[in-house]
Amino acid sequence: MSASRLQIGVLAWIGFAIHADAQASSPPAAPQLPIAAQIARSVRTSGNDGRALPILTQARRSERRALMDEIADTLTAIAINPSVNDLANARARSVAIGILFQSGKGNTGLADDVPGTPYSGATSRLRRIVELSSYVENRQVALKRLASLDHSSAMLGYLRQLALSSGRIAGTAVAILADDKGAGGRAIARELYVSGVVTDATAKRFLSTRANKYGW
Amino acid sequence: MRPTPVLTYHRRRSVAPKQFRALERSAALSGTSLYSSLGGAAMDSHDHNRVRSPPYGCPGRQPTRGPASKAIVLATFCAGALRETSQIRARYRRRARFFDSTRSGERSVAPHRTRDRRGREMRTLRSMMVLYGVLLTVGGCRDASDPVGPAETRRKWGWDQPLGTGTPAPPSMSCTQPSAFLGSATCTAAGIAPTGSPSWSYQTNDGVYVAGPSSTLSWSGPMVASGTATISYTDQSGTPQSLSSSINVPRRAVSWASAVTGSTGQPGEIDACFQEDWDGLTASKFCSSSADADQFFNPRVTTLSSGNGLTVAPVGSTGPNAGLYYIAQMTASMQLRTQISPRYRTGGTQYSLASAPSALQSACTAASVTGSASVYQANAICTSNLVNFNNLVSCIWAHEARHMTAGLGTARYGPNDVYARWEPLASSNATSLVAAAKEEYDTVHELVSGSMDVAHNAGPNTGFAGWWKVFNLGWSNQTYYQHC
Repeated sequence: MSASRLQIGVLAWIGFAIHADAQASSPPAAPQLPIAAQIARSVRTSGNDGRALPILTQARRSERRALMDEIADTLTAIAINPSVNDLANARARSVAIGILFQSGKGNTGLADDVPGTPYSGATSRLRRIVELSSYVENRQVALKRLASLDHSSAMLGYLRQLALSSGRIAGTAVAILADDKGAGGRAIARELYVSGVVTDATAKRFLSTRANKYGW
Repeated sequence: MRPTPVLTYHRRRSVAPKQFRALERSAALSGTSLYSSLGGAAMDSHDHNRVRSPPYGCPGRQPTRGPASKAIVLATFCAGALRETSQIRARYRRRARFFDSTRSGERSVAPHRTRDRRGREMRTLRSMMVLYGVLLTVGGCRDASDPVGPAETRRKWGWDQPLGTGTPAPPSMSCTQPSAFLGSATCTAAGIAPTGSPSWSYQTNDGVYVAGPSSTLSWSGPMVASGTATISYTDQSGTPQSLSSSINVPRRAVSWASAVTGSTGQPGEIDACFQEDWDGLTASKFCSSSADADQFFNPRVTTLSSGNGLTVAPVGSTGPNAGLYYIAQMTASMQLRTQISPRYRTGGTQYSLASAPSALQSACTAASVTGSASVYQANAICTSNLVNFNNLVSCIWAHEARHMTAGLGTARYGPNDVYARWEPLASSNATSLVAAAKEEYDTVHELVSGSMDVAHNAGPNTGFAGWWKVFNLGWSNQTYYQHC
């Protein structure tokens, strides 16, 4: 009897060991949108996103260049393309520009200021926004961000070119040259003021205030 | 937290409901656990997680059962029982043959006694079969990582809760919804064994990931960002599983409309912001130099920081939003003032009359104004041009009012509401949160600035003649045009 009981017990243990009665199950997997689409939806609906920066700056791991460019292009499209002028869309445009700018600086947005790799495609996207956005305020802000990322002499030439254009972007270019680009930028602003070649009224007023401030 | 009754592991459909209820009633009457009433697997009265050698030995384990093993168990049991039965029969057949061959005098008695003894053994066997059948059906073992842990652990897993009844529910998880911004949400899981190594995580709708605690079935804390809470664990077969529940955080009804104001400046107000050749000015009441005249927000965009225009705060260290930062206070404002150039006021700037046209010089000399004069003196005292001069002054005020009205309207327009644009921002990094807020601030400022510029040429372009004014080259009475 005891031998049988032992036998039964052992076999019972084996039976329980192979017990595979999974009662819990994973929720049905929802079809996953591409990450760029998820980010775009988040930016448009929530006015915020926490995924783009860590990817663009490769904060967690090395990322595929194609993925980073896809995300950056998506954000650029949000900032450029016309949309209903409501709070969500207005916020989405500036958030998109902000993400591109921060990625260009290498800011990851992660806790403890985890350092990242500056996204090299940020400047070209910001420049595209400056030139193509349907919204002048977004063009202006994108130009400010672009100018703070790009410290090349070519950037000074680009700003001078914009200062001679019409529209508010000219005033923004003048202000950047005079206030944010050091001696080189200020020299160009002074030259613009003295030569009187600037045509936009706001840009001229900005030059006038700087001339008054710096004694040109 | 919903308890996980120990005996949910016992109750399976393999036990007839009637039989199970009877066993459970007897267990309740005797004050013992159902497990002990089933087979003597006595549990410590102070710690019923401490299982003392159940029928098939589950030291340090939790009893459990599963239909997948049921068939194997029962088949094994039946095989053993049949074997035992056949052994009893064989033994008594041998004993009968022994009586037949040795003691013929007892042949009339021995078979009868033998049958009685065999019957008793068979009845005993049948009783044991029933008993062990029940035990095998409802018994079993599964690992428990800490079955004999301290009282806190028992409470954590709900083992100190009263025994439940009915079919055990599958693992589940749910979250309570916060009633307000920063209100608490509690996520609770049930039916997940400690061996499943449960761990929590949260992802905001904006994609911010928050890692949560492990080895607990409850997670709670204040909430600022909507998203999805997830508990990940492994089931009894070692397969990774997860359960999720969304949390919606009520948003704050914020608006900076009341922080956007504008009024006509008092004499002297924002005078420091004027440039010499400006007729009038619309600027922030905090403007202190002409270089700041195009900065309408307070603080100005470049100086926005936590403590200056907004206050960033951490959510806290517990719950699904632990470690996130949000904008707790919003104090940025736009307070515009309109002003007319000091030179057009009665006590305005004095300009030399030395190079003035002779007509003005002689008029001022006749009025006892010599050496220098303000524009007001030249028109109101030296000459009789006060009406024309006042018309220009009124035009300038109207012009500045247009600037201010445009700026206020743009700033108060819903999509440009700075506080509303800041409200949903949340980040795991205070610096990036301020940077994001600055982006919104700058963009709205450009919008406001742009609309104020556009208003510059909005009024009728009106020519004013018959009054003396000062240009860069000096006194002149040429017609002066202004968009009123």
